[in-house]
Amino acid sequence: MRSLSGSELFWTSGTWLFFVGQILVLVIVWIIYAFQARKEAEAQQAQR
Amino acid sequence: MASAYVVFLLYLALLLGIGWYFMNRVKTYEDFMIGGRTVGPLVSSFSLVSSYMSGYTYTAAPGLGYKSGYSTLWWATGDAPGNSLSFGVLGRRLRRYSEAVRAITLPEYYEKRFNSPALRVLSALIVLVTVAMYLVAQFVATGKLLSVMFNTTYVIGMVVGSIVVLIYTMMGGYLAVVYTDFIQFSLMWLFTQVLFWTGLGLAGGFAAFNDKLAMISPELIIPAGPGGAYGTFMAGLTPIVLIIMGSFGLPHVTIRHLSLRDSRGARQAMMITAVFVVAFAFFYYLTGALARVLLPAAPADVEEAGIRLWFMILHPVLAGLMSSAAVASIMSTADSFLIMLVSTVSHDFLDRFAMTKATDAQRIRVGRFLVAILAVLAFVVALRPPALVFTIVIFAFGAMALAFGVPNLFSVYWKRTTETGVLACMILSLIVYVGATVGKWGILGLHPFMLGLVVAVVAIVVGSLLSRPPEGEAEAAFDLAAGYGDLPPVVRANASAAVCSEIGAAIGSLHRPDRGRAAPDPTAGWVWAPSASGAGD
Repeated sequence: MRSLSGSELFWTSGTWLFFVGQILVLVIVWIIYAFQARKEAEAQQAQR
Repeated sequence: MASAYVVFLLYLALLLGIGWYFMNRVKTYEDFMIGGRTVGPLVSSFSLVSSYMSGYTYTAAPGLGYKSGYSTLWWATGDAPGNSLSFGVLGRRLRRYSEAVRAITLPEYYEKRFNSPALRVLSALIVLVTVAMYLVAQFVATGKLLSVMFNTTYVIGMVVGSIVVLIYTMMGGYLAVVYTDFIQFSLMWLFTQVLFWTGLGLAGGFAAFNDKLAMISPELIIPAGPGGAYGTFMAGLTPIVLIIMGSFGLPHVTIRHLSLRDSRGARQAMMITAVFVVAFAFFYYLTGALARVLLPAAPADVEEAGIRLWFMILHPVLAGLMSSAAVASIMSTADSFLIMLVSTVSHDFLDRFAMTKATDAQRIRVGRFLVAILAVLAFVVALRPPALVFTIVIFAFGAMALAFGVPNLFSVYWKRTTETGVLACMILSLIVYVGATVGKWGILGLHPFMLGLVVAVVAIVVGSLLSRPPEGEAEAAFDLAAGYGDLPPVVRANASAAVCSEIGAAIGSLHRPDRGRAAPDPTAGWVWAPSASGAGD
């Protein structure tokens, strides 16, 4: 049986998921950022 | 090599210049210790990351990448979420809380949050022991790195590195530390990009790099790593959790939250940190894997892999700058530890228990004197470092993440958290962590850190529920920290001038229209009710 090349192994072994995980971190941080920005805006409006 | 020397010396001169610049701008004790809470989100973000990363970035991390290939990314995965969420999840509330109760160090925050001098003493002692070990290790790393890079002796390398850190920290205090850290992370980030992408190009691109790495060993490509070291769920999860909890617990990291200009800055710093660390953390680990492919011969010590790679593939001037970035990564951690030790000894022991009536000028003088004394002591120990110094440091990292990470999060998210809960958490988790590490307990097959984490969470919850719940001012301060928008003007004004008891009274007289009638809404605006003493906005 032919052994897999490094590139094939990268995609078949799930190593690429490490990189997807980092993108997910950016998405989560952006969601928290947007949530907190909205809360800040509401609080500023209430304080005025 | 001569041009590398020149570039490096210019860089050291720049750091000293920053120290001198800020020396004239340190007016108050709070300026010296936490920069007068004036640090913006970008500088806070870079400063936090550079002091968190340390000399590990250019020695141990590429060494791991060299040995284990892609599987080292289990360690890198926690960097971005840990560093960024420490601002947005913990830092935002901690910043508001610390201003409301007028705390400039983590131990002082604990004392005022839980009305507990015992917690201040215990946490200050933990800071002293763990941070002192770290400082020694950073001086050792400076000596080793400079001696390898410039073919000099370990002692000369250490003398040069530690004297520069000592001088600029003594002159400019915390502001010098964060602004030099800012430059240091900028360098680290930029030259890691240069090194990684140049190396990847020389390897023939991404696919060719993977193919060449797999030809050395297919195990270097797969997530389980060589020998299946990360082949189980817990083996992969543990490094991620450890790194994230470190961001929430290391005291030299959380001090960056306290020094932010305002709580909004925490949100902005979170975003900046996420973007820059995502585009950084994987690269510095993978330079080790690139070195495995590109270096013609294996280095005697795998931790030299990254350094040997940059001297092989970069122009001497760039290599000099890269060397500066590497030393920068160590210095930025060393200076943070130095200022952390000073604030603990000066503020949490001397000011709190001995020099209660000292003026700001006297306190700054004592602070500068302590910087010198502590640096000299660390330097003397580093001349003949303990054999297991880096093992001890890795151990201390876990200890700090447990002792402070869990209490920090609970203190700002669970109003019911009490002094008893935090004391139980710190003491029991450390006992279990030390016992499981030294005694190799291996309960349920858990890593000592994970075992300590479980005990920490259980201890803080059970200890808090079994003790008297917080009430009155403590509740009001919690709500204030949890809220959004500007702090009430009187709290901000007093935070710069008043003593703790006055702030306590101010917080106590704060009330919201719905207090006692409806479920609390943390976003509702605060209304200031003038206190009996006539203070008001």
